[in-house]
Amino acid sequence: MIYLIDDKKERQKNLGWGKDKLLNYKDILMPIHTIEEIEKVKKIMFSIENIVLYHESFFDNPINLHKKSSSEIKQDLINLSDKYRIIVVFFSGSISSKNIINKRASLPVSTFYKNLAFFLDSYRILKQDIDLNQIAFGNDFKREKLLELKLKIWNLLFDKKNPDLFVNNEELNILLDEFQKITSLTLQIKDITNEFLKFQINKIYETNE
Amino acid sequence: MGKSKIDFIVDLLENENISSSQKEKLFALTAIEIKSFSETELKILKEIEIIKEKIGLSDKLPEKPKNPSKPNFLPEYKNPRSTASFLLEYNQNIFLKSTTHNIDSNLLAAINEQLKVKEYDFKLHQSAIQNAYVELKNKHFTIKGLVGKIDGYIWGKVPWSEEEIAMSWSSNELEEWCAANPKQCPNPEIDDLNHKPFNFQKIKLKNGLSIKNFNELVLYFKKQLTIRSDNSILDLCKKWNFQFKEVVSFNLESVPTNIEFFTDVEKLAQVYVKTIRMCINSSLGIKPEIKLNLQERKNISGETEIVFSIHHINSKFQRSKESLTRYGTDFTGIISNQLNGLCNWELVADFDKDVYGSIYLWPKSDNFSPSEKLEGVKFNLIFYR
Repeated sequence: MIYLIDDKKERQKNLGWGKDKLLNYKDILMPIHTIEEIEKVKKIMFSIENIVLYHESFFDNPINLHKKSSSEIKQDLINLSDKYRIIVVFFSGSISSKNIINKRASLPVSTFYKNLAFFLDSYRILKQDIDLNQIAFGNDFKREKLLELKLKIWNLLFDKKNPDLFVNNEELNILLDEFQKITSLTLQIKDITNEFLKFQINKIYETNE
Repeated sequence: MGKSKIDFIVDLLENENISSSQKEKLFALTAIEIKSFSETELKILKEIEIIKEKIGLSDKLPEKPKNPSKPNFLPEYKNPRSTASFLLEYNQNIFLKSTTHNIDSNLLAAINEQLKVKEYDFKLHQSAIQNAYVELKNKHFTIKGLVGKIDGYIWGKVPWSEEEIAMSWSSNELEEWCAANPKQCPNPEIDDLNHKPFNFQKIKLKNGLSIKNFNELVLYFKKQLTIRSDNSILDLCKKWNFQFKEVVSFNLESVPTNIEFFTDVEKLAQVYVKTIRMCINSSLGIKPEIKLNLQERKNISGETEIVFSIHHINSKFQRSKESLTRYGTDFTGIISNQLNGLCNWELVADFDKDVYGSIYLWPKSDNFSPSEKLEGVKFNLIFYR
């Protein structure tokens, strides 16, 4: 079972997840909006065969007040996920980038709801073998991930003072590392021009399409 | 001007037998001395200010009576738990939260309800943010730099963060946009509220990234206060290490991404960079091997501590533990300018004469805990939730 813990019903509805759509997945998805609903399922929820989708500020809502702070509860959830290898997806309106580590993902709220249907459909087939990239990047996740990386690299190169000579900086370095990791290919980055870097990336991107 | 000369002047001024008026005369002489070495008048004034601040005669700070039990130059201890509580409450208060999150339909409804209005009103929202922040500042002590940053972000009277960002919750441009777009908040959850955020001329950051609208600004500000998986110590260290990549060998294998806490991330970066520089300076030409670690531990009161360790493995602490009754300029500077109120500071080291153990550098303690033989010098930065 997948537990969707989100106190914000209005936001859910506006992002395309009203009551009817949630009901379409009732065989695999249990929406939870209040602390009372959590109390009913908390003993069975944290199990390796389940998945928890959790709005980070759930316990900041005055109707869901808990003796622990929301940040302590989140830390507990992270620890549970790491210890028992339970898949947990965190989402929030304060998260600006997509992040996947071990069995955990951390996503902007709009990305989460945009890709939720793909994720649920895949879960029906794959169960716990589901790839968290699916909820972070959608169905064609490898292509989407590379496209996002390419866009970030292009944006960083766009405003360079010297457009000809490629100068690596810390942000670019991390993005290029990530690009090479995903594609398992090595980029030549020493003594090259921006154009040659773009050429290499485009070539790899086209091969991966 | 060489560091040794500054140290000499500081030592001279530290002498309690010299009166304040004699110290003023010394400052005049110091200025002449510095002038022959410095490039610009601005630099001279800056250096004098540093010296004045170190001996407690800065114009910015009133002279405090000397406490004979305290070492000279060290500030009054500020508890980092207070900073943690301040930041936690900042992130929980409904109005202040709206400065760190994109506003969705539920948060918008809650803001309107609190303000007793049916439709969003920016002026009322802005005023509620300011009032909530003043109330929070009065409730908890927090570090000066952090207050300055948030003041700048909310009131806009001074640019905020090391990036000197002028855009704030009080910017004229923002107020004009809100007047032209009544009932719309400047940082909406776009797909939920179905309108665009306030766009402005791109703010170029030093790392090459840029901020082009109010949603991005709010989320950038959030990253300045939070360590979490999308802004983890591991990812931050990779960025901070970039400038040292040729001169230091880093081991990041023990830095997990699963520990989250609130802090002043820019101050933490400054502490980190200064500590790495101290390691380089003490390494006598040998490439430092530095292992980083982040872990939680319980202290003797059962309280959770978050410990970020910077472990210079191929080194020895080049002083005896007894010499720590008095700190040099590196330690006093880092305590006064970065650490105090941000985190506690522990030294675990291989001291000379085969003495091994740990001691709290801040808050300053005389309690040395001996240990088995250990390797190198480890600085533990200790944070709280």
